[in-house]
Amino acid sequence: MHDHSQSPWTDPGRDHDLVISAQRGDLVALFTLLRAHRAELWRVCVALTLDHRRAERLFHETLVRAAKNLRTVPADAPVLHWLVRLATHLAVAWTRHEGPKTPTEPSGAWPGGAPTSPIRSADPRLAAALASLPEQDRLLLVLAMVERLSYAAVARVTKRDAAEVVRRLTELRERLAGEVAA
Amino acid sequence: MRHVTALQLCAFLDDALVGSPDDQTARHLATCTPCRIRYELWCHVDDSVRELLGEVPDEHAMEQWSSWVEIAVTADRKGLPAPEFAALRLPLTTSPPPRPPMEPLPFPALPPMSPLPMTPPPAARESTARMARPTIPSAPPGPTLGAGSPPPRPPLPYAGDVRVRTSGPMPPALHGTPSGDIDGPLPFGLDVPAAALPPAYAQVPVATGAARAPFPTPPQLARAGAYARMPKPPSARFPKGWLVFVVLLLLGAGTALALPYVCERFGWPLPKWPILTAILNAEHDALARRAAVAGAESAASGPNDGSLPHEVTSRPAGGKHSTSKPRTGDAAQHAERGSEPPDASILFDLPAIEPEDAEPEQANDHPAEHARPHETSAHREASKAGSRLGRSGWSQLCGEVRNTQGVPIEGARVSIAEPDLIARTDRSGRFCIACPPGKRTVRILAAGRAPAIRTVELGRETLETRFTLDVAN
Repeated sequence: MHDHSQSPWTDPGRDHDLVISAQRGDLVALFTLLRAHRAELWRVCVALTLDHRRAERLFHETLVRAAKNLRTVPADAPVLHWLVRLATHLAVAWTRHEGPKTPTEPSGAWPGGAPTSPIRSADPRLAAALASLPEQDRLLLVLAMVERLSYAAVARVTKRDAAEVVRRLTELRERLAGEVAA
Repeated sequence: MRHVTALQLCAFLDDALVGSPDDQTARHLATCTPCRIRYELWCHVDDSVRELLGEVPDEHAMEQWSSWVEIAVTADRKGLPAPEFAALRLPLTTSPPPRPPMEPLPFPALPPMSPLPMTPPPAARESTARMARPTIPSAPPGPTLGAGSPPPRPPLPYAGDVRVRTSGPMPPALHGTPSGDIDGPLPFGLDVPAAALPPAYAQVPVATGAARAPFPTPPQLARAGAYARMPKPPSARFPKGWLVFVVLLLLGAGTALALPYVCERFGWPLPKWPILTAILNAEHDALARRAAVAGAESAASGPNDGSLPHEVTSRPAGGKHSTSKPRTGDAAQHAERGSEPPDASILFDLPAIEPEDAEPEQANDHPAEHARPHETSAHREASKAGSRLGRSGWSQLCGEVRNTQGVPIEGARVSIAEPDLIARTDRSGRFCIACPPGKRTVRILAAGRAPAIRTVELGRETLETRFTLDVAN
């Protein structure tokens, strides 16, 4: 594993100070907090949606809801963990219900409308295999493979057991390798 | 030889193995071809996943997304409704194509003109032809419904007034989108209700909200109601006809009341108005009934006094008044009939006249009368009036009205019923009335005096009588 001692995944940094200021009504602190982890959150959103348009909507909605629910930010972990869980919850909910059923948006589609821009892969079999995985599995893959988090860090982010994370990652690798080799 | 397990290979790929396990795994992969192939396949998958999901986003796009979030969060903190993500994303998307210019709806076809019942003159025919074919700009034909086109919608019920603005482009409301009022140019009209629109416009569903009443008041009716509630001028509240009627009624009543006095003052004949005559006679009858009782009492007590006549106003029974002067001819007749005895009752009533201190001078003012007391100007005027009226057969009733002290009463009203005759006493209390012969009832009325009534028998001679009026009770 890589050294993530200075990574936002492991080092809270000024997150809690910004959270306290934002809870007191400081919009600058709030916007600074939301901008601090936007690159990591964006990659997670892309992994959860496998679509750029949907990733934009998920990214926007995650940060807006985070601004509304700053009171629920855990104090013993980086804010990025909380943001990732929030994004995963939204993606799972929207996918399970085929998108939010609001008066302004048609049901049966993701937010953002019908047009989508799925990510392009050199190996269509791998892309199809990833699309068939649930959001939680894609989150494990992006955290372990892209963000290069340790099993313990992945377990903290996803709030799962480390052994379960290793076992699930092994299964996912075997499945993806089988799909690619087939 | 034991191959590397999947869990060991996964941990080896994730650098989770440290120490001897990592070295043992590395040595095995170097010597074991199947495990090495498996390892290379897994490495390929990991690289592909990193390449696929490890995308580094564009910094400009990231800044744009962050700004959208800040807009939404700011609106939420200010209590405003957060803008939709689709609305925020519009600037990045390609602008929608410009809306094509709206084509005006086809003007509804005019119904066929019915033939005129009669042929007008050439000029009228020309004007009628212009009216029948108004200069309407040729409108483009309406959309043709093809096989796949939806059927025309049935006419919707009137759901509210339609405000038509003549400026701005035509919104899609006229093309079937229920978006409320119609905004856009129409080939006719300014503010018109939906009911007044042609069918092409009346079918547009408008006012879909429940807040609107099903049948709201059209603007015209609202304006009419406001006009009805406006304060009206006094002339509108009180019709002028009533005012004129009241004024005319007051004028008529005043004229009717003042006419007898005016006619009497200037000697004009009184018009023959039955109603006016009845009103005036009602007073006479009431006074006559009161005087009848007093006259009976006075007849029993003693004779009244009489004097020289001054003026006679004859009023026949028909109500026509005429002012007459004592007739001079009657004096000659009286001289010729000097043999006829006068009425005994009248002579009996004549008391002895005792002139007062002021009367000699008054008598001296009329030397002729003083010389001929029975041929005064009143007699002559009464005779003239009688001859002028063609009443030569009438006799004269003359007399004098005084109070109990013997002072003559001026202005006393002397009236005879049937015919209705009225006379006023002069300054010396004298009066003279030309009256047809017969039994007559004479009434004397004076202000502040009790009325006197007496029945006399007039012959063809002048009858002298004297009345004494007591103070009214």
